[in-house]
Amino acid sequence: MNRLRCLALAPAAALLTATVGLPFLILAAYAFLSRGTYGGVALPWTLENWRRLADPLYAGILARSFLAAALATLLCLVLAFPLALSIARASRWKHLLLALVMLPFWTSLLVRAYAWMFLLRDTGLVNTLLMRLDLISEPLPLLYNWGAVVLGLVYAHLPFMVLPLYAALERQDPALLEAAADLGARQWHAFWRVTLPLAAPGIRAGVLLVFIPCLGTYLIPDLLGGGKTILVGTLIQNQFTTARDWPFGSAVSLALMAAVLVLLWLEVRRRKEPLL
Amino acid sequence: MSAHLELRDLVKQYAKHTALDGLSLEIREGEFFGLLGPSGCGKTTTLRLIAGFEQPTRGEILLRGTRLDGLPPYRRNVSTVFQNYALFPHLTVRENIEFGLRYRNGGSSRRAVEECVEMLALGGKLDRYPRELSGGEKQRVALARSLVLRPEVLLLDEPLSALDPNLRKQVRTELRALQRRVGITFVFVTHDREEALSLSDRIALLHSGRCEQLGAPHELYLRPRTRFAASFLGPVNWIGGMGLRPEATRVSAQAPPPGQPALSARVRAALFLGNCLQVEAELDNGERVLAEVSRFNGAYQTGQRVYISWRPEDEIRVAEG
Repeated sequence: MNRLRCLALAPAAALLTATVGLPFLILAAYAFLSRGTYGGVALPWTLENWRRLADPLYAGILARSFLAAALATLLCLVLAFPLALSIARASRWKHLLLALVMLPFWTSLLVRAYAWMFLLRDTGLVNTLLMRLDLISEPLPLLYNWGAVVLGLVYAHLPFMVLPLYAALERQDPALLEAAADLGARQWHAFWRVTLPLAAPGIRAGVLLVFIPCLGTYLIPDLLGGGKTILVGTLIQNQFTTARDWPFGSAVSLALMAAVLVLLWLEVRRRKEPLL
Repeated sequence: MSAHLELRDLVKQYAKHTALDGLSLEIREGEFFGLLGPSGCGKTTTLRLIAGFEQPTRGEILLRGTRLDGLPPYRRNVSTVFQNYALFPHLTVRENIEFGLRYRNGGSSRRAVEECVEMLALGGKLDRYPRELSGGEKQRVALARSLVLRPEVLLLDEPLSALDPNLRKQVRTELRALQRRVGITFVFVTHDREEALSLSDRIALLHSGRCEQLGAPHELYLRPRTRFAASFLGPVNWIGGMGLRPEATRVSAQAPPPGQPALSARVRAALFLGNCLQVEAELDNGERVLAEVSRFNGAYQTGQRVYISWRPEDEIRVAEG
């Protein structure tokens, strides 16, 4: 039995070692080296990259990224909860509705981000329509700002919130709500005292599934935020490309990873069950 | 005596079928009332209509003469013990029991909780979660959660079905004693005739959304008015147009004294069941009868000629149909 299990685990373990474990070790080593003249890394070993992280400029970027991710997560939660609840309580078409929630995954995020640019830019669909209707005289600045980034983050990650919420809400015994009503609770009370607390595991899973990818995301802030609203994902990308500072990029990556691991550890400590 | 809970001509139609087809019942104050019937007879629907989880298509529900139908569940002074108990899994036993108290006015709620906890022997379990309880304990929590609100009527949906079979007889006795002690009107639903007979003061036998027969357990068992009622309440031998319970069917090797109704038959099988003998016999006209006779009554061989007799007062006479 044990040998069989080892055999079964081996391919996945090898793949993960090669694609996650080794790059991580490389990254960890880079983070303590100096930058090479034309990119890459060079000796000597140094702690300089970590000292730079404390620079208000970079600390600010990290803080802003946390804020953007938190805001996007909160908006996702607020939008996804009623949606997940109504799908979970739908008498029919549940699977169709769920499939619709996941439909965007059928198209690359890159394409969908460009679609948003097409919608939001000065000559985009929204502005053109509003101007044709004479509601505005000049285009609204919808793209390349903080709001566009958060909108994009919410859009891209909403399904990751809906699915765990749905899973938690769908398995709630409908008799519990009847019991609450039977004992005197009106709908709002029953929601507050029964539905919501029982959905807590789904809420926690959804928050993690949205917050963590939002924190490190690069594509959305880069495309919808333009160059202006720089978030940590873009910062890392810049270090490895235009700035040619691989050691510093590695240090920022590791710092971000550490922050995520702390969050995961806090969540896992709360309960013994697996995340989903 | 006027009715405590009255159902008047209740009709409940769903898209594809009619669950209740004109059910009228009068339930008396303080009685343990059984709704008995096969699955699909409308008994659970009746309970849900009284609780307010569903609204009747037509008809009225009155509690002490006041209309209940149309009110939401949280405004009805009745409470339900669900078949699977529907305890709140995220709340402790104490929190479950206290759930409804904030919606009821009255200052003596703490005393009510203590009373219920004591009465249902839940003292040591108050800080447990439902998943840490046995089936019997869950049921007692569900009972406490409802009884603490002092409802006018307690509704119980198949109260024994979720329990271990070994536990059922014990809980049956306890439930009966509990009802006597609190004096609240209990209305319960079951498909199990033994449960209905042993727990109820009166039983309504439901069939196809109507009340087939209403009466005390012994009336339903001994004097069923229809073939359906007779068969649903227990095995019955149909001899000519007349029914006879197996335990009222006598078997003897000698002819019974003249004047007593008797038929001659041949034993097809005699099974020893421990507490009795089960004799299966074939009458001369080919009909089969089943008799449960005392094991002190002698032994029977397959093929033996016997007499089947009975007391005229044990005959079950039903309306044809």
